[in-house]
Amino acid sequence: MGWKILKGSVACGLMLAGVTAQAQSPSGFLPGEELLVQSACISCHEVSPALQQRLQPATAPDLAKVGARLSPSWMEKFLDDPRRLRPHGNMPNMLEVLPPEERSQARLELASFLSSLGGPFPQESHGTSFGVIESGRQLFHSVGCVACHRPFEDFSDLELSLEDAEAARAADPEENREVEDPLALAGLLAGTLAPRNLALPEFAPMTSVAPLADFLLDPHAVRPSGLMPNMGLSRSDAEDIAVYLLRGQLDQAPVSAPGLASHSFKGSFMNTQDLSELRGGTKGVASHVTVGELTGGDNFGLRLTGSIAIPTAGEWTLHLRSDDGSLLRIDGREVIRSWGVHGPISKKESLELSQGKHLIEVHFFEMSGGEMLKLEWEGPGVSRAEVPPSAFSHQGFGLRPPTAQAPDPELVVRGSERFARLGCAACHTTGTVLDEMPPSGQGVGPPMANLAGSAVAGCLSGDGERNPRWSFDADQNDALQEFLDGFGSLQAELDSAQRLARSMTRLGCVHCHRRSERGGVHPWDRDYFQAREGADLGDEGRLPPQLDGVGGKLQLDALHGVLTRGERVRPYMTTRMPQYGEQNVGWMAEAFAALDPDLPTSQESFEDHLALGVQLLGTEEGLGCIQCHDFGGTPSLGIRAVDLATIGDRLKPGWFEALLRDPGQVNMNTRMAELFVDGKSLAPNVLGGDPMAQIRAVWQALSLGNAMPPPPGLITPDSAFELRPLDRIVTCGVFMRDMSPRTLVVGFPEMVHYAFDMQNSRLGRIWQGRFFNARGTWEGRAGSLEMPPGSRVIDMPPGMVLARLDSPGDSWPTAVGAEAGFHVLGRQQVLGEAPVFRYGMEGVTVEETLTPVLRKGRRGLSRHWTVVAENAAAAKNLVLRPIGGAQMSALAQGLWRVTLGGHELDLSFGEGFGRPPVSSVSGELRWPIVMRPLPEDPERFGATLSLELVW
Amino acid sequence: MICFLAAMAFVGDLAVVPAVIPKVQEPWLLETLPMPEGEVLEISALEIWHGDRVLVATRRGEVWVVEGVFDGDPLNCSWRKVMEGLQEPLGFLVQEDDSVLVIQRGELSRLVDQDQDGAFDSVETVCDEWRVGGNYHEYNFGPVRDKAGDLWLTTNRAFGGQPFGAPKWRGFALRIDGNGKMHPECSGLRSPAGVGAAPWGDLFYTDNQGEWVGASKLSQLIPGAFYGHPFGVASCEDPLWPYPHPGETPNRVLMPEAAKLLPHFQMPAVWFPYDEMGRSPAGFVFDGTGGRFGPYEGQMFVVDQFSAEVMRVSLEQVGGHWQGACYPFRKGLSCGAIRVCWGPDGSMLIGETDRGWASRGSERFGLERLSWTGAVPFEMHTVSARPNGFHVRFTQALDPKTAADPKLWSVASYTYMLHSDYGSSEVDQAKCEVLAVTIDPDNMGIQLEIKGLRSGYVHELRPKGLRSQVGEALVDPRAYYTLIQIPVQPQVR
Repeated sequence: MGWKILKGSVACGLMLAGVTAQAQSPSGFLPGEELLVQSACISCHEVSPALQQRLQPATAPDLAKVGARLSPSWMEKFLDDPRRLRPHGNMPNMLEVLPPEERSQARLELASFLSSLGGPFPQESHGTSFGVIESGRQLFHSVGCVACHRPFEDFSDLELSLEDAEAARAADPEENREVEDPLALAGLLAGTLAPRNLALPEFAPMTSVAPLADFLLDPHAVRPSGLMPNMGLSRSDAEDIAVYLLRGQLDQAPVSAPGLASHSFKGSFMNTQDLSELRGGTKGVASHVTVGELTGGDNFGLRLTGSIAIPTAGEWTLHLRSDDGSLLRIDGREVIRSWGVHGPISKKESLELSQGKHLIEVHFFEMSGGEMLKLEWEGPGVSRAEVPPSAFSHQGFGLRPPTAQAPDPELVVRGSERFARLGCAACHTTGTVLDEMPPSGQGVGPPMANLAGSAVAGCLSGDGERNPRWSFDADQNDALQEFLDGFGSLQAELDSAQRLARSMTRLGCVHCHRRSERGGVHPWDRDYFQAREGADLGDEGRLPPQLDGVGGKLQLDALHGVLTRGERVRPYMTTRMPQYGEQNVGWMAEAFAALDPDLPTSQESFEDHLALGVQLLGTEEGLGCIQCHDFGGTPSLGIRAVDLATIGDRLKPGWFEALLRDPGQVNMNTRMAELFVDGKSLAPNVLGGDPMAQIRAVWQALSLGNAMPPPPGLITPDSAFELRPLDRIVTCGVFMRDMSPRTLVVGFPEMVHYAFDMQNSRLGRIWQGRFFNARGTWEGRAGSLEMPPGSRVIDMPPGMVLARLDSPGDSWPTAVGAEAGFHVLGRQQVLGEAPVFRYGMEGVTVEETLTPVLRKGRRGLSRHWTVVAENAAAAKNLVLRPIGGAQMSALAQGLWRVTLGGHELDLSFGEGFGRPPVSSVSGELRWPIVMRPLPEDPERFGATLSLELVW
Repeated sequence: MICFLAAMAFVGDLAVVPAVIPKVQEPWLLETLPMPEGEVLEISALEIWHGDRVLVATRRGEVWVVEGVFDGDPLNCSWRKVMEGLQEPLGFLVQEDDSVLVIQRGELSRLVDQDQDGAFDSVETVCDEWRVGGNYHEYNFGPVRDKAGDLWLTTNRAFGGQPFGAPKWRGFALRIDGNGKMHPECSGLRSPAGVGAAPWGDLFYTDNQGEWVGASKLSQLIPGAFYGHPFGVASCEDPLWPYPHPGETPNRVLMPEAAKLLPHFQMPAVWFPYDEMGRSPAGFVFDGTGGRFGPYEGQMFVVDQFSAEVMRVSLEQVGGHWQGACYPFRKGLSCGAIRVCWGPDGSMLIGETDRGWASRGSERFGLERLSWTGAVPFEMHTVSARPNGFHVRFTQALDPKTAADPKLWSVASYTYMLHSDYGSSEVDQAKCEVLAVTIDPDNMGIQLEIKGLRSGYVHELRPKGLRSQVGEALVDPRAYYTLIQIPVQPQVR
């Protein structure tokens, strides 16, 4: 069921009618209003400021650098009859107002003027190859261009080479094909629109590769109103598409060029099968099979394609030698595979080859260290030797832009004057003084409010002597007239729903997304929406999501992300969410949020089941979410559904809850598994199998985002090194960044953790969520400077907690550890239990331990100190400072709050903090330690202190 | 020559060697001990605890106890984790009170099992007076106790970034006194992966070939001595260094020249020729098994991290300098070995890991045991220096007809460069002429009279075609004697 080319041209006619046929239903706008906005009428017919927002048209293209983009000859032709060259453009024929005999001169002058803007039009040929055209052809038909533009080819033809497809079409003329009405399709979902099918102009006489690629990369620079969106292309992708669109500029028969076409790519390809799927990359030509100029680099891939000329038929042995991996294909068949990370190794294979050219492909990747790539052959009459450059060739040719000459300066001046006289500046900016002139000129008409009933006289009259020619048909004329007749009673303000409906129609959103029973991909276009290979997600993996209730589904920032920051969470879709620009669609996020209600969350009291939530995500006694969902960039075990680490930041909790309770209820088409069939969980042994408790636990885990511990069962290069304090405390000695090379990290099953600087006897860091991955300390020579992978990481302020001060308000020593007079005594540590750190200063011994606490849904650590002094003198003037250098504010009796590293840390003081604190000069709070004689030994003195840190 | 006589005492136990056993029996049986599934036990320290428990530390900072290794079938041994969170625990020393000293990156610690439940419950800091720069290669080895009861460590030089600064005392031997005070004693070490005490009390260490270490070596640790690597020498300006500064290290000189140029330069006891005798010598033990491990009582066994083998060393003191020969012993361990200790039954336990430095062998880590079966292979037992040659004792009686021919003996000598390059080739090579061969009266040894002995040179002895009385060939006809001192008087046996 492919889209038929000829149908396109028929549907193209339907599209013009589409304005009248379809625009009314969604937003309640009269079709005439749509047409008036589309035609930018208010640029020449003044309206009240109040109505401007409602009737604001798309901004006309900025012509400031048009001379570098468009060929002068094309511009002349275009001015002659804009609708002929660009049927979907909104440009009227401005020359109609001139006497016929003057028009030809006017075109020349205007084109000369426009050519001077940013010109000259470049004349260099662009060297390219069939591979590039093919890449552009596939990109054009897969990234989403065809959602708005008429596809050039049937989807099924894309499997053939361009040449073969064209030959097949020539043999099967379009006339023979049946023409159908896209809206009369049997079973069409109500509200589906006909394919948009905006016809593209013929580009070959119009522009050249570089400016067209520039335009594709940043269309808003020329067309700020965003009607042509940014498709998030790389420069290489944009060039490929431009070359495809401009292939008519092929200035000679394809030539066989020496060497092989080369595409190089950055990245790690150790785990890929080959490089076939990679698009773009850096293109070049390699004289033979070699690493060439990439020698010395790391982490790259190289794909060489072309032909190898076999001098004599017979059995040939090919030796492929590489460091690291490589593979060889001859005539599309894999002959040698030497993929993997290794030193220079050779592999060989023998095969029968006929005399003449055979297609050859060599894929190669390098991870690190040395690299080499070499292909040798031996066969009839040829002893083993490297295949010489003379054996290789590839298809290459040039694209020649349309010829242009520098404009005559006198014509430029006259063109500028004419541009002003005609009123072109009412719509177009030029980057010249013309931009500052008020709308005026021959094209500029009376105020809009005066146009009611005046059709016979103006633009709608078809009287070219006085007005720009719009080529409206009779229906359109009537529609406009109807709208103008009721203009006086037009309401100025649009509500959010109306604005959304209008913009979604105008920008084409409805050709991909369905909302309020309107829109969605038309069946004729569906084939062009493909999932990447292996993404077995059905339609959900290839079609853009429906948008009903999206404001209640996505968090506001996530809506902004997808609308204006190009954030993509569906890597399995080949189609990309187009970017229309913050100024054009940024407001939509708030509009969706305002229109769509949040789904309710269950109101039960908070219970902390973060660790169980992580377990539920995994495959060991869990719900197995990682079977289908990626996790923090690690591929899922099966199909590649949305990354779990992104969900907590994207979804609203109510929607998530509804999705898990009954996936079909919130999204009819999802392939999301039903996890709780008849109220029974797939993980019956966690939280008693209670669905709601499990959903809340999973949400708690997902809320950690990238700080989530990897769920059990997930396989990553790191997973063998993941430390999981599941049922006991886990410790590990590490080098800790910005802290100490003698750091003990301690992880609790309660998902709150700390790092203790054992060299200086001080708590250095605290965090929550994921505990620690020891790969950097345990793999190979290791020695990495570690950082906690969790969330809410807080660096404790520098300095010791304890000091001996003459007066408790004195300046606190900045030194730590031995330099501050402390010595390390060691630690008590029973495997699986909380360590007790022992350290001392003169005459004093301290034991410090930390244990986890949970307080009203927040996590924290309880710190506990036992201080013993050998005698009365050593017991004097000991002061404890819980948080150095920070201002604490009192929340309640014994409860203080401090902000550290952007996190609110609440301190709740227990034993030993009974007396009021002393404030230092800088405002720090300190507690003099009250030392009492020990009952068992009155010569010695002691104190115990404890406080809680909750964050 | 009292010392020499003492050394001879180790050779003298040949009488206990059983009669020749049919050759079919392997002299030493290698057993690979099972490990708990899923655990990564890269063994970095190994000792016997409470008489028959094997105490193991791993590079991941864990301590395990293995029970049941010596009672019956070691395949039934059981593992129990008893501590974690240590940083690179690379050596144990079990104390009389069953507490265990363990060296970490940043401290020498004492593991204590206060409640006697068989697992440790505290880590007491014995000494942490050195600092760590945060470089992976800042390993420490030891501890080992000297005659006075003090503890010695060796510290590895750093390689590359030290994000916490470049601390002093890298590439040193450090002595920790009874009060936990640190005293630097030797400088110029590189990768001193093994350190141990001889039965007679002297301390030795092994060092790995690399820059400033032309060939891997075994050296005696002598207070104030310099071992050739200038990396840490700047620390010798610290007042804590009580000895004369070792001076500026000369680059590109022959080792014997270096010994003349540098008054404190310590020549090795044994050089291990690269690839011939491993690449990365690590832990070692002296055979005090009373013959239960075979005929080499009193000799030393050194494990090699790269070549997954055990090498053998005999030592003698000549002119006040301990020196001797190294011999191949047993190749084919499952993985590179860095630790070795004796079991209570006289079997040898070997702790293995290839982590960070790829090794021979099929495994990434392991614990293996070598036990003597009672068979005696035909091998060179001991090579000793003589003023005019060498005396070679064998494990079995010789075939006097073949043994007496001087042409059977190929003796070459060479030395190494002291230089900043990575390793040294064997330089200044020369062939030695064997002038005469005299067979010992008991047929178990020969005197080689050699022309051209050179002090400061390895002398490589390769008898070809030599047969035992029963017609066996040598298992491996190689011995490498590091001749630093040439005896000045004829020795009377």
